[in-house]
Amino acid sequence: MLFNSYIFIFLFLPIALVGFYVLSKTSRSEAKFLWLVVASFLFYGWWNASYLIIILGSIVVNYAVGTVLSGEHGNRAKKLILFLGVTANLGLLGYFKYANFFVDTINQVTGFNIPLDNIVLPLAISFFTFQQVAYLVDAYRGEVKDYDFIHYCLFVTFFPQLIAGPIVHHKEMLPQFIKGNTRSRSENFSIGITIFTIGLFKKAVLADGVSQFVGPAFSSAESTMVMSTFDAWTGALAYTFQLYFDFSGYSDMATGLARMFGIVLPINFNSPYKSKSIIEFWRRWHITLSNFLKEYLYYSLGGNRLGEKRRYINLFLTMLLGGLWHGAGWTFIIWGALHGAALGINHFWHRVKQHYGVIGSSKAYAVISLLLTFLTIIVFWVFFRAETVSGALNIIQAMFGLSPDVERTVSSGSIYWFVMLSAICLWAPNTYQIMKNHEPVLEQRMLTGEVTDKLLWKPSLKWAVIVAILLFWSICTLSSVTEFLYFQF
Amino acid sequence: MIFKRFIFLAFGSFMAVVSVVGIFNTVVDPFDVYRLVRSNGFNEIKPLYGEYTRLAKVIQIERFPRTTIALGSSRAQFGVDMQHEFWGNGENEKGWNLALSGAHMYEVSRLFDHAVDVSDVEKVLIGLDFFMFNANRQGHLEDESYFSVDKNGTPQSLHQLRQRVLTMGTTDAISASFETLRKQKVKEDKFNEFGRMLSQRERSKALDDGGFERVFLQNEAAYARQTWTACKNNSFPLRKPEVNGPLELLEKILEKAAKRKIEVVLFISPSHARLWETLDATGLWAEFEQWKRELTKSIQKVKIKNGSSVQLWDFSGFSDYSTEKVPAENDKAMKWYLDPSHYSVELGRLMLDVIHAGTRDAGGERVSFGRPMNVSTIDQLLIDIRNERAKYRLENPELIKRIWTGANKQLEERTRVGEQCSNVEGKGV
Repeated sequence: MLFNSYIFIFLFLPIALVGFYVLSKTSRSEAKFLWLVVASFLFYGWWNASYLIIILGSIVVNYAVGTVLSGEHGNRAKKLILFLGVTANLGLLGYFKYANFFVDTINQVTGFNIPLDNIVLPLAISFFTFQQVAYLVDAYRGEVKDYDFIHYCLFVTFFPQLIAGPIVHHKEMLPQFIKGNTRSRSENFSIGITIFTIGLFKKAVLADGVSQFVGPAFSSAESTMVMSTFDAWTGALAYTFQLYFDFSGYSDMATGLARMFGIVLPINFNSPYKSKSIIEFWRRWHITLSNFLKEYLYYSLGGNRLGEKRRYINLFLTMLLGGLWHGAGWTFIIWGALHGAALGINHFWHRVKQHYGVIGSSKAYAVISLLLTFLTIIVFWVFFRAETVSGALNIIQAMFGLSPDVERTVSSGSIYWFVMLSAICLWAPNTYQIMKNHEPVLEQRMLTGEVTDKLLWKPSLKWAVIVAILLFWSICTLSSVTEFLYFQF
Repeated sequence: MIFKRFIFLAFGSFMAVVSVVGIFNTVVDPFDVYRLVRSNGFNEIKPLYGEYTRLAKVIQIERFPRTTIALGSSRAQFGVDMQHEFWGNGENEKGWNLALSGAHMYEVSRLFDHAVDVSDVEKVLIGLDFFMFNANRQGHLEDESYFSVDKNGTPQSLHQLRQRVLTMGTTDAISASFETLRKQKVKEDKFNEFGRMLSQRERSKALDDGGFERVFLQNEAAYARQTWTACKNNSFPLRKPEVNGPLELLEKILEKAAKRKIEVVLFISPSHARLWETLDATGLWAEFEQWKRELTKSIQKVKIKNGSSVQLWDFSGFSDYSTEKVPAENDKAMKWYLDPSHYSVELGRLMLDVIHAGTRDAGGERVSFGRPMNVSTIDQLLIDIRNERAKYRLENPELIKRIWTGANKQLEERTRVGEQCSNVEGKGV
């Protein structure tokens, strides 16, 4: 069940909310959380009920291992249990997500023909695996309290963030389940529905709207057709915007939904295209993933404690694995490697600046930094979207005029989209800045930047009308009437 | 309290927007499915109807049930006149032309199931085209949620709600309404009120596109390249193992019609002789003849099982009409054709005359247009058409040479870069 579907908006969500609110009035607080757990399993099982066994098995095993790790055991025994627990999680992820890729690669490189059935990736496995690995590591470190099983289940399965994040941390979620939220139900719902609506609009109207320019360019690139510079830029830019509005829209929807149930999620996107460096970009883009990779991978590799050289290597390895986490394919690995290299260069540049006392605080420097960062990100996204490395290279060559220029095939209508979306990405305040007076997310401190009073959300008639229009507009795009396909016949 | 007020205001505003937009789309009615208001200069012309016929026709037959329907592809959509006396309807009871551009047999069968479910259909005319029977291309429709029954015949209880959502509460519907208000010139009218596409507009378009000769050449190339088959190996299977192929779907239609006592008339479209020549040059004539044989067998099978009688007429071939000369001048229109495949409604009316009154005119003379086709006549019919083809070739040697050269060029290109298809019941090139 997708957030942007009629069944979710008009059936699942109202029932889940009503049930939650009714059960909130009962004396036992577990009842409402049990209700949410059941709703979350239903939400997850809607795609494929057989996946429920995998997620349930993963939860039971991890909860058990976490409980053992939290107990009084010798350090060696704990280390062994943690090792087994993490290995089991990564093994599960590795089997479902990477087995096909590795076997295919081995077959291609060696010429062997190792048979392997096409393994279907269970939904959200990357997300719930990471959350639980973090839980185990923290249990080992003694940073986990005793939580009951229902709360743990909800921490893993809470449907707003189950499918595509934000990747939540037990320290952020479990205390909220236990303590509850002091704000009124109507306040939480008002804030939640506003954030959800903005997210739905970003996804259904903006991301899906600009996506029309993505497919043709990337398909042409895969079929090794020579493409014009204009078409290549159109495809790359359109994907840059599509991905942002799609993913940040989803995160907004998750944040808004969670808020309707009184839960505040961590911030996941903070106007990433306003970044003036790649380092800043990764502090603003998919923040919960960056935090996870930093905390549990980069630091585990030694972080910057082992000298400058190791720092670059660790950064590179972290981003390489971060790329692989996004998908099992060479294009993702290259994308990760490029970001790893760019982060290294960025850190090196900071050192050079420090060494020579360059401050770089002028407006021109800021604008150039922003544009250079944006350009770098656009080019890197090409690898993220392309199906093959050669497809990505075809587009990049055409973008920089390195392939024979041919007549463009994409209409210039894309330019209007790009101007509008650029204004939103590079100038407008983001959802959480607009809502910043109402604690939209955890880590409020990240919401820097002034927002004029006019743009700040208030529970006013103006905002009620805006929410109603955006919601209606978004819902109108959920169905498209099938236009006729075969006019040539 | 202020938050409760906010929720109330937001919900109220949402409902207000839903109501305003819903009423607006219902009144403007860009898909011609509500017919509450029809006013000259306001919404009389439906310029967007043609782009949404797949949705509109399904709703139209349900909201305005009729006893007579025509099904098929765009040839039937252009050529079958629902006001012809063949239908035997009174002035006030015209049927629906439910034919759709590019429809394959799966889509025809879904429309038939829907129509007989929502309306007391008594008579159905189905235009059959060779390309509709390529088993490689049968499959699914992008959206079947607005049909009254699903593909297994199970009722879809929410289909009317779905129809309303699609026609009232989508951005497509909203923009179609605005387009409708904007384009109220007669030249924007592409369909008549019974769902038939207008020939005159297509004729003008052919002239605007550089004349009929140019349109013929373009269409012949497209047919040779991809319309019948896009496969590298020229595969054109009529059946596929383990799937309901087009012939099976036709049999299911005939079975259901027999059970419900619905009169069925089938016909093969009277496309232009140049298209049949292109078909032969593309290497598909044997499949074409086999298809005709299979059609007669399918009908015979249903006839034996149900005792029903189904008429099948073959209008393909080389008649006085289908050999109409294509004007070389780019300002001259054709009388009977819009392009090599689509015939005009005038020829469609002649076709219905023949089906209605038989192949002899009022004076008892045989009309050289259309033949009844069944298991007894099929062999002779195929021979007759081959003979007519030979005559046509003798009379037009230069033209034939051009057609074969053009088709071979397309075929070579397809052999090089066409789709990979399995060779099930197909043949290699």
